[in-house]
Amino acid sequence: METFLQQLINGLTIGGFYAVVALGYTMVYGVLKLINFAHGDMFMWGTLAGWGLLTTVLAGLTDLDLAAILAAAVLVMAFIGVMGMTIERVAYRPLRSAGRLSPIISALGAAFVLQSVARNVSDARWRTYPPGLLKELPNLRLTGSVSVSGLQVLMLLVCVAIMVGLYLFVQRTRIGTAMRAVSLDHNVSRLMGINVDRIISLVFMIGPALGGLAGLLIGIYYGSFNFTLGWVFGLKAFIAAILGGIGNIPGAVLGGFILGISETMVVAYGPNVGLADASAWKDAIAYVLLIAILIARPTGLLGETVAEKV
Amino acid sequence: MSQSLARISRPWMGSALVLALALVLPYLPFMDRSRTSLAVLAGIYVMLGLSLNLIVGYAGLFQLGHAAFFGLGAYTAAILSIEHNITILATIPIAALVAGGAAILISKPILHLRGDYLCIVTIAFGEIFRIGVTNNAFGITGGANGLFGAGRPEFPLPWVEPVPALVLALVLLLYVYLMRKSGPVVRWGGAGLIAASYYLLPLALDQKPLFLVSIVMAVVALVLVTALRDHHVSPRGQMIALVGVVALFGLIAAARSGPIVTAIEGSLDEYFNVGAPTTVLGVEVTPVAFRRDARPYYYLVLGFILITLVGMRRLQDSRLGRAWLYVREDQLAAEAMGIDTTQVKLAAFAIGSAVAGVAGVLYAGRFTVVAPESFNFLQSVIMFCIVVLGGSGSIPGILVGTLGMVVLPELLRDVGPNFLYQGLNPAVILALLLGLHLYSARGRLGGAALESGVIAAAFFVPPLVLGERVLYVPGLLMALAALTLLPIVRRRTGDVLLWVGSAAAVYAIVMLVAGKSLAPDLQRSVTAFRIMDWRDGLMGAAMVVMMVLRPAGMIPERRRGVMFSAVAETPAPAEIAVPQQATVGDAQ
Amino acid sequence: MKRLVVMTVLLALLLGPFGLIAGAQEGEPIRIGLQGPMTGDYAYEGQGFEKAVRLLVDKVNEEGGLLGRPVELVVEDDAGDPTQSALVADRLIDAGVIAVIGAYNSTATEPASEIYNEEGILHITPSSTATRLTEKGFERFFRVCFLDDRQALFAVLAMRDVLGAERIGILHDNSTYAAGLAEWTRTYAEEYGLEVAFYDAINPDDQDFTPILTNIGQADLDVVYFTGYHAQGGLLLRQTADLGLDIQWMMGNASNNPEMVEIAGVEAAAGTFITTEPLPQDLEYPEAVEFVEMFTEAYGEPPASVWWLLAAEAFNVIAHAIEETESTDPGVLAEYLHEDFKDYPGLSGPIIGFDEKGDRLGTIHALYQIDEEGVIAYYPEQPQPQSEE
Repeated sequence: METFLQQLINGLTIGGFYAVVALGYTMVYGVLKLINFAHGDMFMWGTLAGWGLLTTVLAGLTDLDLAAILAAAVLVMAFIGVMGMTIERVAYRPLRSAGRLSPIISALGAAFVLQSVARNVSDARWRTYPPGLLKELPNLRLTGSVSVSGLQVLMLLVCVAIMVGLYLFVQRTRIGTAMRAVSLDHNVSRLMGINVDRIISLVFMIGPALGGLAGLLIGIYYGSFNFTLGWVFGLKAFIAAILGGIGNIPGAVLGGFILGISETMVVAYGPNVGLADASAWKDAIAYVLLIAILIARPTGLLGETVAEKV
Repeated sequence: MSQSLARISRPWMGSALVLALALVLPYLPFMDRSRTSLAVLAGIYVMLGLSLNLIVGYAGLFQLGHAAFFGLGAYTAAILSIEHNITILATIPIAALVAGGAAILISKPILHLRGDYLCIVTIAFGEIFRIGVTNNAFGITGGANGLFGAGRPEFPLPWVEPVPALVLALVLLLYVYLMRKSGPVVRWGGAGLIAASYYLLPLALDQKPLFLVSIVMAVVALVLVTALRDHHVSPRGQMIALVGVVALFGLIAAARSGPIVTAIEGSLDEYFNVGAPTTVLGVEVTPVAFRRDARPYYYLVLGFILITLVGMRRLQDSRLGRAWLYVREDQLAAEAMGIDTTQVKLAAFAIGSAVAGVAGVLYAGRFTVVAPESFNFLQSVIMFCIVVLGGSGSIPGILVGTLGMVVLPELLRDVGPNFLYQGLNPAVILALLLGLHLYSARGRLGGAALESGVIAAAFFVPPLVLGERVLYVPGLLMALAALTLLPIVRRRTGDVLLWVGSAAAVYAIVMLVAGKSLAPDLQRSVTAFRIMDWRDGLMGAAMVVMMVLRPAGMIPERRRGVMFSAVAETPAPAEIAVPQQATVGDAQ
Repeated sequence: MKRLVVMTVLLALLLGPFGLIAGAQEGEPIRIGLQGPMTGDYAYEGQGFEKAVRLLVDKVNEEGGLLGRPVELVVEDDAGDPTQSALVADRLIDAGVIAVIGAYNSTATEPASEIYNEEGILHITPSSTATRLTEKGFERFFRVCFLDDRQALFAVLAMRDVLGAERIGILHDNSTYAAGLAEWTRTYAEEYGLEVAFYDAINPDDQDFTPILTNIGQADLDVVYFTGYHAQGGLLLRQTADLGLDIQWMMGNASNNPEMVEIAGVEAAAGTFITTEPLPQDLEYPEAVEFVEMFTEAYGEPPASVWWLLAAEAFNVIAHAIEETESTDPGVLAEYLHEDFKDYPGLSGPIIGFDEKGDRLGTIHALYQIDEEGVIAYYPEQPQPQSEE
């Protein structure tokens, strides 16, 4: 039981990160019906930018832990937000009426560019965050040997705050309403006086900015990263978004947690299947889960069946 | 088969040109060893492009996990060749079956998924395959290091009995089958002629290697007569051509039999390893294996590409081919017409994957190592790009896509750090840039020429005056920036020349003043620059730019007037199937 | 017709680059090839190869070259990928090399070794440890690194005799190198009476290993041997500390890299054992000390990975063979290495010689421990080597 609780906590932490990154995929898909393959790499750029800031410009502020991190968070979010808008403007907007194949290639191309630049900036090495960030947060000992680090709690809280905030933003504000309108129908939205281009730009700012923030958090939490992070993590987050029903914000969150927890449980309790250890098959199991859910419920767990007409 | 001569003759000229080039390619002066190797790899990717084209281009299905089927073929070949000592070319049917069969099993439950979801599921399958082989699934895939030592292709010595008889029987069977609607003279007379002349020379001259000439003769005769028949040449014309071919080969072989035999034996020695005779099914066979030299392998791959191409052409014109077209253009209408859309899509998946499996065998035979990273998601993306960048559904597009995605990135290796400012290179590059500028400046050629002159002056003066060639590098950046910003300036102020002139002057002055001291630093950073570090990034940038400029691909498929012929861009199948997403026009 | 013209122009444009760049020419210098991952996931290692070898080449050339001829190093990037490795091998042959150092990983070495074998080129790999490589009977293929089983035996003895462990765990990362070492370790551990109570793998693409660490924490082990690479090693150490677990780690030589300490943080890394070839600064050979000094002077930091040293070692072996035989014929060099190359003072310890398969003889592993300052330090107590079996 204690192990189970500990593993549940481990899974929740991983799942929280998946969920925040999944939000970006889901928002873009909602309004554009486009798989933004570059999102994972923008998220990695968040980690990279955070590393750059915390090891150079903000390095002097290490005494003021929290201030440095808050400043880094704001700067990273701004930077990645602008990056997202730029990519939309350059690589996606010209292709909005060009069918489905071309935007996929364009998105993959953008991902390649981001990854290549990141590789060169980081010298293809593992990079480490300054040691001791937020380390003085106390470890909470639950029952017996089960422990939650303060960092884990903080990460989880931030992730949940982001999700709730975004949900309220989309559901309760005028701009959020406009976003939902655009995701239903571009032309009608335009007739309603919504500036569709601006809304799309905004989506491409908010999604990546949140992804960038998640990237920074990951950097602080794990302490090191390399440029392939975006690809692996992005793909997982993307699966999470689809699991929950892409285009659906609570769905992305649900998908993220399901994926994180099930991965953890596979490692914790997976049988040794004789071929190799279960933990090595963990990712394959995530994909099988994805396929199974899509076959059973082609639009994901919470997905609306709006788009399917055939 | 109502293709008129007029319609197909012109594309044929282009194809003939490409084919001729492909045939002589390995012997062109610039083709050293590594470039021939690269040509082999490119050939394998052309096959992969063709196979994926069937799925993406013809049937309109998203497939971003094609590398898995390529890998299935390669692993099948490697396992059979390493564990069971089966010569690798003989594994082709098995590999095709495995890849095609797996495609049927996998795709059956997922084909009903909508475009994007299908795309995701194929990615997932591709990843599962990669993880599976990395984890040494079933203990037969060799784990992360993959499988070593798949054999080079082997085949029996082509003129030792029973090989010539077998080949002849095969050719004759094919001939008689293809000519089943022709009259008895062409059908049986032609077959007899081929058979008689096939044995005539080698036996008469008692030179068994001449069977190789006979085999070539028989194949040429077969292809030529079929082609003539398809183009409605009269039976008499067909017979005349047949006699001509036979006579031509006979004359050449009879007149030059000595040199031909020496050449055959000589090149056999140069390109192949002749092994010890073994007994297969009671017949003694001398196995011949490919050497490392890429040229024979190049022709092997080329042969497979041609076979694939012919197969694709025939499929396209078949019932199934038309069904794919309908399904791609309008699934609802296709269903209404009584097409079983699931079966039709399944067929595309299965056939495409089987061909990819064959490409996998060729890969395993060439590289002898089959390892997981050769079949990862990036490979699937490259294949997908080959199809879409060239123009989904278009066969010339696949050639262009392969050149862009496989050949050019490899050639970047030759672009050393000093490439940009050596010899005439800076002048050539600038000339290309300015030429592009002049070309796009229709109607205001005078102004464009003046701008070009100013840019060229600012480009050439500092390096020439200071004698520092490395200053061409910032010059190129300057020219690039100027040409990119020109349209914006024109829109804003109109007085372009003044702007260009002053900017160029500032640049030139700064360079003249500071150039001498900048040069060593510049030299150092240019030398440290490693273009291969940026290869993926350049590839990605090219992907974005190409798609933005030509959303339908470089050489889009020419629509064959079935329906929607007025639609210029490829409409996505999913979009048509989902009417309320008619977002066309949003971008304006 | 227009189409034809367009096609011709297009082809000419695309083939143009082929013609622009002339091939390599025959010349005076002795050309030695180096292939390795200069880009891609292992780029750090490949670039280290180049740094280390380039240093020695420059030094040889300053001293007048080999046999009075300058040495030219031809570097090609295979990105660790077998397909690119084959293409790169052809390029090196086009460039006219007599010997090649490389590649980094076994997957890339394999197809290249086939090509070099067929062309009769001397081929020395500094770091590919897959057993199969030397089992194909290639007479001109050698390696200056050791096979997995020797390190495994050393690690087992260290765990049993130095650490006094009884229940051990083994963790690898599913790469063939790490999995091979782990498998050998399990075999020897059982042979020498240790209980392998935990055996599993991580996925090197992951960032979070807390689930498996929680499992390890439950297993009550005396020591856990991780055979994978330093990046994951660092994350494992850090997350062990984050979870507040008390695990005694021991790492294989792929984790012998100061970057591991950096990733883990000094506190989390301190006390961890490492089995590896001895670090150059711990070798009394003047050659080794001199090399480390040279390297530090040239690049501002000592060589970070043992593989860099072994790449330099491979070059030294080739240079030594050329000077001893006064020949640049790969066949002569290979014969010399097989027959007469004995007791050479190498950068990574003495090279007793090569066996008939081309594998390096002898064993030189040592036990290290990360100290309180995060320095990887020679551990005073070493296991006694087992007598030859």
